[in-house]
Amino acid sequence: MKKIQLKSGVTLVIRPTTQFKTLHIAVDFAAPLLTHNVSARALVSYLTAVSARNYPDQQAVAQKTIDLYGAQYQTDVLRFGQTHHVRYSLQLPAPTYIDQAEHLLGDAFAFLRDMIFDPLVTSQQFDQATFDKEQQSLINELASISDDKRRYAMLKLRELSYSEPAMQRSSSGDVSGVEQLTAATTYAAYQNMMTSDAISIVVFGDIDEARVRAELEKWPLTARRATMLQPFYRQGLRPQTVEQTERQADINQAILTLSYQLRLTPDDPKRFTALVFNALFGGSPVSKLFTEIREKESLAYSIYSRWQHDTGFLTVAAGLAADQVAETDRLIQVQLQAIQAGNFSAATLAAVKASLINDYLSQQDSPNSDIELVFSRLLTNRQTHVSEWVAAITAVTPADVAALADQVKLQGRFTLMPEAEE
Amino acid sequence: MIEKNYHKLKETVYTTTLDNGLTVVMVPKPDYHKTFAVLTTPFGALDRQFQINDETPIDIPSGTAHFLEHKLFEKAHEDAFTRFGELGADANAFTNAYQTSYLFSTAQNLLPALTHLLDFVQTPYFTDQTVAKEQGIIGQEIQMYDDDANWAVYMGLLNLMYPNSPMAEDIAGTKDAIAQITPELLYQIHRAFYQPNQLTLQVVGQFDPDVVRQLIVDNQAAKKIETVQVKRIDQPIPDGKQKEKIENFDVSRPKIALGLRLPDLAVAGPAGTKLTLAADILADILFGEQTDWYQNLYNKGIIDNEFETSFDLMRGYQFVSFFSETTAYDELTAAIQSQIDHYTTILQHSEGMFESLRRATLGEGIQRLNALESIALRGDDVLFGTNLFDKVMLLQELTYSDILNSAEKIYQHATLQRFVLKK
Repeated sequence: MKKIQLKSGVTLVIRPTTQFKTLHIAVDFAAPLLTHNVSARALVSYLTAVSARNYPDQQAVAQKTIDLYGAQYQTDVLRFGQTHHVRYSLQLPAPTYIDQAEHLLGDAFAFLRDMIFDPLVTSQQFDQATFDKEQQSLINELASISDDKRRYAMLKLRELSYSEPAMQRSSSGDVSGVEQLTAATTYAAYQNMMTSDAISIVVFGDIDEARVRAELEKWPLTARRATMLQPFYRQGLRPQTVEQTERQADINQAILTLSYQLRLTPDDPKRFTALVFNALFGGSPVSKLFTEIREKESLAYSIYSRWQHDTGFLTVAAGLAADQVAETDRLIQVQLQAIQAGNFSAATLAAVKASLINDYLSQQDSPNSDIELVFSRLLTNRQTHVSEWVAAITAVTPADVAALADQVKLQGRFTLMPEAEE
Repeated sequence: MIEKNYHKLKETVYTTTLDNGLTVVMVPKPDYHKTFAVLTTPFGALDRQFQINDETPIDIPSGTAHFLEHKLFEKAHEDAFTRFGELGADANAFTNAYQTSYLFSTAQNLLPALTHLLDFVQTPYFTDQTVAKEQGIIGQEIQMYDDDANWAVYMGLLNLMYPNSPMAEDIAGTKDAIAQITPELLYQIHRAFYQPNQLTLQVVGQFDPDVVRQLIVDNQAAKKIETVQVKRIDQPIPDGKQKEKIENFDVSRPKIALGLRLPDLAVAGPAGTKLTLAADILADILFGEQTDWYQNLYNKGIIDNEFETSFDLMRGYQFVSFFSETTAYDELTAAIQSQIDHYTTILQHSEGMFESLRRATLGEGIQRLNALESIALRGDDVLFGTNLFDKVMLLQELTYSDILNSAEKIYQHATLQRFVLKK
């Protein structure tokens, strides 16, 4: 992967390939995660998705993406450890597959420049009417998290598990944070993003470097202080599990969520063992949680675990009948103890590794996965070659997995229950 | 083997029908790392009665296709799913209204995984005990959907438009319906709808077509499977005259679904795909994000990004649907009705818009070809015999008179029905 330093704090990576029928331009703005800026940055991502000076409303933006042959323009916010990202992406059909497409590429770069760098602003604040609408949209979206019971339970688990306030919230902020924003304060957050964030640009598809550079010359990319971001988050172990149960009317099923810490520093080579452990515990269809609790005991319709190396937490979520929560919870701990005792077959371990390797190799067939991988390499300043990655997973032994499992500590438990029947 | 080239798209499709009737479709993608394979029967949730040879017709309780899909994975000594896992293949299955598909993708061990796919689908194993156990698991799955507001609003609309029909029933069925399922019934369905001449195997990705074809031929030659005549029996679809229904649910904003049930359009083959493509572009002309209509409602806060329209066409069922989240659902309903009332006027000056939407839809179709899963699953293969490449090529041919014709079929005598989910 070749890194091109366009300016101080502005990095470009080009991934030339003819494998796909698309061309992608993705731009990432990264800053430290802070309680006070997350809501504003989320609102910036909403505003710049639907307006710019040259495209003053959603109608104009929609018409432009139609004219770009059905291009998909999207803005997102996400979190990696303790960094917050606002990401712009534009995907369009590769010009080779379009008749008379001479202008397509230039138009695409110009459109993205307009959307990111030339927002709809009057006298140092976002256009008030647009602001009002998008503020309401973001509030609606945040409020609707509680409609999706799984997302809601995971968010509550997050609040319970993290010590750092900024880590406890959704990467889109929270309703009260968004309500307090004004068109002026949000614009200030935008300006701060434009002048201070680390910028990474990935261009993916059938395109050469000279052409990309020529197009990016037309973007107002300014040098910024290249502060090293510290993406990985770690927190101290809690002596006791923090627990909460909430009852809601109008639901039929319970949701049980658990968080664990794995006690692994960001650069620990055991991070490969952690991937294998998670896949064996609950992260794959051959995992203990899936085969023992869902398939054999029929206790939960859905159950899985997820390991997040960026935060050091492993989470488990299960959807189940209310009267089976206690038994399922007990059996989850039994499965963990089984792994600690080395009680899993060589065949299962081999299957888990095969499945991880399969997923990793398969990413090469998805432009978005590859772009994601490039961004995370740039952020963590670390890259592992495909063959090294496969070798590291292959080398994990049963003893490695058992030893790592021994370090796993339960930190939080959130249970969402239907209201008790009369 | 029939070879069909789509030069413009740089794609080639090989199709062959084996002696036992199994259809094999192969799309080699040498630049890719993985391969995606799907084995499909055109048997789905809408199938509720059938006849083998001249035997007595057999009723199928609602939810049976989905139930059988689950049950096919369980064998006497192993779970078919686990075996895929051991091979490093990512396996899955799904049932919809008109098909059941079994699939896997893998970047390693393609040949053993392919053999396993064919073997487990073609070797039924149903017992009283395994059927009873499944009745418990699926009961939970149905309950899980009961808590899903989007699902509730979708089913609510289908129940208004198509009451007392298979379309209005959950694909997973009901607890009472699936309690009627017996191993004998599953064996009869398997005998009818899983015989080789009903099945299609698609293989898309990184593989050698000759090697894969030979493996399939050898695999099938070793199996003795009886061929039977099968006839599906569809009951007439009852009327749905009720204009509106409101149901209570714990949602932060009301969820609205509006529907237009159309009379049977009786289209088949590529004409079906063409009508669907035209209907989608037509919906964009009338209700798309780029219209003044949309922007006006968006500015008033009556719709937001959640607003969606859809056109569905399958075996006697054809409908347009609109979904939104808003408290101002009366205004939204009136606004949609007004576009429908004025569709002829709007279409008098929309030819330019059609041309740019057609190009955009074509561009979207091309982008979709990136994913092997889309190539295998997002064509109209089962419904109309057109694959995703055919769909993209049909878009190239679409004209404005196709749009005008479809508008007449869809909006001429339209009556909206409405389902509301709110606190």
